[in-house]
Amino acid sequence: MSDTPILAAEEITVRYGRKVACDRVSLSVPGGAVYALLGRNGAGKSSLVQCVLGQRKPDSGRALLFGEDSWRTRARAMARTGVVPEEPDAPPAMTREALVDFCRRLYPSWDSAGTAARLDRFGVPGGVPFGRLSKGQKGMLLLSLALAPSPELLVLDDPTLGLDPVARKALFEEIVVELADRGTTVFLTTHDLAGIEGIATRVGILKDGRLVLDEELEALKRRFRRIRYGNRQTETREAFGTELDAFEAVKVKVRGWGIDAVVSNFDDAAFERFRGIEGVEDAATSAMSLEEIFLAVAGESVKERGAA
Amino acid sequence: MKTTTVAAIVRREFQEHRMALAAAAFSAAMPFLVPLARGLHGGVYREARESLAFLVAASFAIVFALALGWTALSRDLAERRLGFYLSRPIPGGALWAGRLGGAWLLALAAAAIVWLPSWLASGGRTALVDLPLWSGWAVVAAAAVLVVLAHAASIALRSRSGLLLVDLLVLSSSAGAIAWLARLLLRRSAWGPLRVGGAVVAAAVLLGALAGGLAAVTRGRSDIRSAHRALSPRIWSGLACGAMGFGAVTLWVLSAGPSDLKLVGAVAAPRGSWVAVAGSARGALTGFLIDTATGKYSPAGSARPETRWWEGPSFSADGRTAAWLEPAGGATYELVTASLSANGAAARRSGFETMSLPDDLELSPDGNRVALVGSGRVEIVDAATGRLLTAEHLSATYPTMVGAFLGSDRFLAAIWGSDRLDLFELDITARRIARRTTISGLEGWYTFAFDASAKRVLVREKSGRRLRLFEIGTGNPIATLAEGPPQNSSWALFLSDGRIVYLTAGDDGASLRLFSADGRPERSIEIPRRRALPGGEVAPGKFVFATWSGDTSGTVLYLADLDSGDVRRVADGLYPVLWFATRLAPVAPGSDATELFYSTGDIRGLVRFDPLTGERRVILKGRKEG
Repeated sequence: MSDTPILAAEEITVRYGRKVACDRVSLSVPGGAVYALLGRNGAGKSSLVQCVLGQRKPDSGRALLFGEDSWRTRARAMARTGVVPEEPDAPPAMTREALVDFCRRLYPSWDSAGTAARLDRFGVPGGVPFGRLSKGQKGMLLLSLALAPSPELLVLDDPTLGLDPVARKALFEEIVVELADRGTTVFLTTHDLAGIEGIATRVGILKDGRLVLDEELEALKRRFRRIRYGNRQTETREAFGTELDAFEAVKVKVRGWGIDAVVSNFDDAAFERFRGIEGVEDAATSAMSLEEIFLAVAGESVKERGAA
Repeated sequence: MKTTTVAAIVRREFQEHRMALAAAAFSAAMPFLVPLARGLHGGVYREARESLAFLVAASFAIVFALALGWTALSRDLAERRLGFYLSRPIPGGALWAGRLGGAWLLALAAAAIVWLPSWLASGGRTALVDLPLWSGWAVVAAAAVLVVLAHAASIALRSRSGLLLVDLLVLSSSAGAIAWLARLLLRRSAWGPLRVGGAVVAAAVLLGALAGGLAAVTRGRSDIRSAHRALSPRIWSGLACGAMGFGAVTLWVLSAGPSDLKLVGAVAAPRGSWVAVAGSARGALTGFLIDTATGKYSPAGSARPETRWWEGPSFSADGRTAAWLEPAGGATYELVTASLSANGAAARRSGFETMSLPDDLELSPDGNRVALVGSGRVEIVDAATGRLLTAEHLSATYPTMVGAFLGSDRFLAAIWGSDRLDLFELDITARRIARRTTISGLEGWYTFAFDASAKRVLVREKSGRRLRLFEIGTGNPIATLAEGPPQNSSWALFLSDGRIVYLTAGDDGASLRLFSADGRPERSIEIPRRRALPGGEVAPGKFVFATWSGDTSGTVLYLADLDSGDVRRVADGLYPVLWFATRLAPVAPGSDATELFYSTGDIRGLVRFDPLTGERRVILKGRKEG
């Protein structure tokens, strides 16, 4: 990984009238990283992506692509960037061939054979106007166009939105192949947490326009744990004690059998000390999935909302 | 901005709209088929085909330009589809140029597809004599302008933001200001400056729309409201610059002074030092009242051809009042008077309006009353209040009429018939009109002049070949003063003492003949020139006139002592202003008006010259046309 971030946001604020979509968001994506930006609908992900891509000028702050202000150098930066938007936005009348032909002329390096093979593999039919393709086909076509010039950076704004499981799997597999082949940097927003769990190296969570979490996924998963234990002191009352303070619990539920807690500062040594606390019984810890961490941080089920 | 990028976008536009081009190709058959269906053959068929081809082609160009300008970019912006282009290495300028340039080229391509077959069928020549080359270029330019304007309007309307109200406010106020300014120019028939001002406005608005449309894409990018915010200030700036440019042109025209005047005509007040000059200044028809004694001046007279602006205002006999009509909106004209003094000319709108322009407008000797004569009627108006004092109908038809005040309370009106001259006298106080006399049996085209007491009238008949003196009271001829072969020019007028001067010039030379008050010949003076113009009496019995043989640049000014018969050449290159005003009340001998002359040559100026002393002063330098 290079020290110079491929993509960075510096104190970006975006407003729509009185509503603040992004509130002084700062993040940094080093070369070779796969950064997953998570958040509920309306959390400000797409606004941030638009700023990053130089399509929207932030009300304050700035976005950098390859070390340059993306608002000022958008066209230059886009020569090194592949983009898959949230909503498939290619001209509806253009066919696969027309789109490929149009884009091919804009990039100095264009992998025509690879693009054709990829499109065939994805089952994107030729001669059909873009507007008449299925949602999955549109997504795959746009991903193919994004990958064709062998970009250094791939920006995907919720690329699996509305895709069936097969299409989702294919899309992520393609990204994995791209990553394996060329070490492309990826910045994506998604609701498909299970899909990205295996490929993301860093995760950010936007909540109400603010970046509440920005961390390497491995460290995150080390830090976030579920702790379950019995506590004699809680058998007669519905509160729990101060025994979880060292772990910075973000979610605690008192159940009949004991306490179920999600902590954000897990540490093995501290856990050993925790087990020795008087009254704590049968303490056990388990790793959490990215989705569980997200739910704990963002507070609500992403899947339910994502399906809506 | 890479050319290849722009070309790629243009190419895409053509691909996307290829069906529209196919429709144009289908329509290309129409110019061939329609004239055939109407049974036209030969040259008529060819002309009809080419006319129709041009019409259909121009229609395609205009409709395509409007439709594509309306949809290109702004619809993508509104439907959030511009991200497809913005996420590629396409600079905003290239995107704008490619999409709008593509729209323009598509419009032209559609027009060419319609027009070319007919043109080729004619062997590459057009048979239309009334289809100048510029009309083709006008279509090309109009298509470009429409694409740009439609694009700007589309962004503003599609954004649905409150900014649109501000746009409309700025647009309407700018249009209002420009219309107001244009009206000022129209009142002066300033067609040239109007075109220049219009071009300035069009260029500024177009530049504003171009810059705004470009900024909407480069700065608005994915958000149509941002695009609208980027667009509007540039449109406003364009409108403001256009309005200011138009204002500057108008101000430049309105600030013209007499020194800018390309002199067409001048009228001197019968007394005093005021003179009215008319002509064009800075592209506008205009007129001024100038005090030749002080140099003070004031705009005066209506600068509209139909008001015979070159005749200038009418003056009262005392030279202290001038009057004229000015357009007052719609088809009405308002009477304006000006009191003239050493302090300047103070113009005042009287409030009196008339629907029709009179044949003659006269001021009473004291300047208190104005007579408007024409359309078969006489109207007397109080100059101070604009109140109509009396209006009398003299004829149900619309003969040419003239008139003259006999003092302040009576007015003599003349109906200029084809073979008779009807004279009426109007008692203004009693509001009573009576036929004074009818002089009948007049032959050919004739002119006439009253004496100061309105008792006699000189009539030149037969296109100037006969001069007779009539008594107004009876209508009877007093004497036939002259009758002979046609002359190049002939003029007859009364002197201040009642005697008559008859100045004629023909191929054999010019002659100045003097007659007594009852028409008896007294003297004849011969001058070897082919044309002549009368001036006035620079002193009692001292008559000045100009002659020339070729063009007026060779004018020679003579001073004749009518009592002794001596004629003296006093100046070259001058001719009198008074020749244009022979119908006016006699000018007092030695008044300033008698010393006012046009300088001749290829440019015309105004000079004050005293024929008795040779003293000369330039009032207006001549200015070349163009």
